[in-house]
Amino acid sequence: MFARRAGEPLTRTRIIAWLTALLVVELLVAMAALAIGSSGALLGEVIAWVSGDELSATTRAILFDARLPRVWFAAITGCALATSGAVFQAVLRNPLADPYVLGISSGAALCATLFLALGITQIGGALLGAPLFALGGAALSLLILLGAQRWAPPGRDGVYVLLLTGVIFNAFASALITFLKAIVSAQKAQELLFYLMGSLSVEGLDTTTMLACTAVVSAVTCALFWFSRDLNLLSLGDQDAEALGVNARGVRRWVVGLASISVAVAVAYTGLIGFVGLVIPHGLRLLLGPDHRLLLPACALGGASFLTFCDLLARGCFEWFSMTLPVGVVTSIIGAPLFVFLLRRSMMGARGVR
Amino acid sequence: MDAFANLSRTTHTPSRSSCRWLSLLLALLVLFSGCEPKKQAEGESTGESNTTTTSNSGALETTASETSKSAAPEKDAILVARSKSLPENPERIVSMAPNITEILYALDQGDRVVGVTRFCDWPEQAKQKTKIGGFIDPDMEVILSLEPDLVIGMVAGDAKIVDKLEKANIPYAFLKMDHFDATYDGIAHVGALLGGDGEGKKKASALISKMRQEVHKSAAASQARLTQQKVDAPSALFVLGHKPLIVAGKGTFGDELITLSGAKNAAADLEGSYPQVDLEKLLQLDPDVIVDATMTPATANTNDDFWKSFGSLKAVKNKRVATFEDPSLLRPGPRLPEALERFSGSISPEEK
Repeated sequence: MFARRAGEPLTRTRIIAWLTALLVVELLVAMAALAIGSSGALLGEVIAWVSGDELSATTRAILFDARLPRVWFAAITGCALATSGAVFQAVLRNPLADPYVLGISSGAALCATLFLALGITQIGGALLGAPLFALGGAALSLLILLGAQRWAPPGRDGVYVLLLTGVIFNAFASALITFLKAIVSAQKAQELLFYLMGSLSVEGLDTTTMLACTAVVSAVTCALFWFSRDLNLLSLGDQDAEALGVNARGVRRWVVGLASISVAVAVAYTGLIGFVGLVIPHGLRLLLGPDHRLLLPACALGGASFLTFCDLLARGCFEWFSMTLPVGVVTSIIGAPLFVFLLRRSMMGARGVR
Repeated sequence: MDAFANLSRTTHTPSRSSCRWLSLLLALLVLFSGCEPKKQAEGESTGESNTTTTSNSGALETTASETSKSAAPEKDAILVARSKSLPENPERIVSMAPNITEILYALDQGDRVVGVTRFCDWPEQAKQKTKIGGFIDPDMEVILSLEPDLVIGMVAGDAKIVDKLEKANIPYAFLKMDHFDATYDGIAHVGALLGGDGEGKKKASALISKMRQEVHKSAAASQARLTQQKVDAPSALFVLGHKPLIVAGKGTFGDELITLSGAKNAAADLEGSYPQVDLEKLLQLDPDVIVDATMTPATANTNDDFWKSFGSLKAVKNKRVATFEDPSLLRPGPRLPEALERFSGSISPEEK
């Protein structure tokens, strides 16, 4: 049913309708994530607050110091990962491409790990060094990818070169991270492990940093949206795109670079969170069709909802494990089966089976 | 049709786009570094932690760290970080480390403890308290929901916790105890933090003198046994991990236990607090006694199997490999005398 609708022409009404629906979903998930947490549900309190009642100091603190930063950052990170996933898939014309698979995430994680392992981190410090290193790491893996693009043969093989370079760099970075984990102390290794599993415990971030991250991710998302027509043409293939007046190589550099920036910001503060960049774009593409003018903003909202929801689960399980699960674990547990399901759906759709 | 088909024919000039790239990255760097000075000012209450070790029970035993610049006036080697204001009479205390929990209970302050980590397993009653998560991954929301008026922790836990507590306006104190004397001082600090009419302080000093006495007694007894058996300071190795083989180096609790028992640390000349030892090094050190603290009583048999493969070691040949059965005793807390009592029993066993 959805697949048929996905083929409908893209009208203004359709865009607005879908985006409104996704926005409502995101708002609902965010409200639920604010209402439920590791210390129990505060549903009544949240409703009371919405209707204008005063909250007790503790409830205020839990809602605004503990939950809100997480929900907020989950939304930003999900948005960054899902949009960049969609962009990578379009540009590389490969369904497996996402920041995680391409090594952008692990490049960023590698350098952030390096920073943490070097012991520059101190109690209370290290909130800004890691992002800078992560950005450097993302830039490094990007340079390697673009370098590979330079000598890659034209044609389909070129895409494989790019993808394989990413996969191999990913493996290389993982090995180096394991090396770093092996040489640091047990305590530090455990800290790194938590970081690498992906965690949204960002409560200590000051508002300026949060706003800066939000600004960067939103700016990048808007910029990517600006490229959405070019992305549509690029997915026809470079030759057709160039024939229609798109500077394929230039556009590719810009969007991949832009996407990497928001990935770096996300990775620096939250570690490695997988599958958001895969399942959200694929699921939404199945639902909405491949037009990036709708797909990109939808991914931004959908990714935000998905990660917020996963974090909600991670925190909701506190009572059973006496710990907040790393959100990366939750996204992978949900994401992997979901990806297989989506794959099957799209294969059946392609064969015309319903 | 394929992507990149036109690669070789693109009219695009790479140098110009590189420039654009650089400027974009630069802009972002500026954006980030703009926030930095403020951050540094906030980070005044920082202690650089270098090495730590965990036992297999998951509890953090010791930390060997250095305090860097001391900005807060009352900060010293033991009290590494504290909030600007501390409550005079804290009633709701969250303990962020197993040894802190033990100290609080040993000072009869169990009633004031409202939250502990999931590793706090002594005394029994502590297990009933609300869990705030782990040592490295404390959950801020649960901490907030407990409405604590004081959080006491050890310095090597979650690196961001100070920022989080600072932001939430919760008073905190983070201690560092990495040898016996530091533990006594740490207990005194905890006693002082309890405030009130100085009752905490009094109880702490009573506990400390009791601990000192017991430690002195065990040490003297062990050294006397060694003299009696006409053994001159055997070399001992305190093993804290099997794969890789990690031993207690100089300046650690293990080192102190060995010395107090009248032995000398076989690993004293190795680099680092908790050096890794490979097979070759182990054969070279060839200690008289090995004390193995990696195992719980339930797995003590596998422990023997592990050491059987090192048959050429003196300690293994002479059956001088002892299992230190309860690694949680090694936490820098009130049970240290008991740890020494047991440990010295392995170094200088009673003659049969």
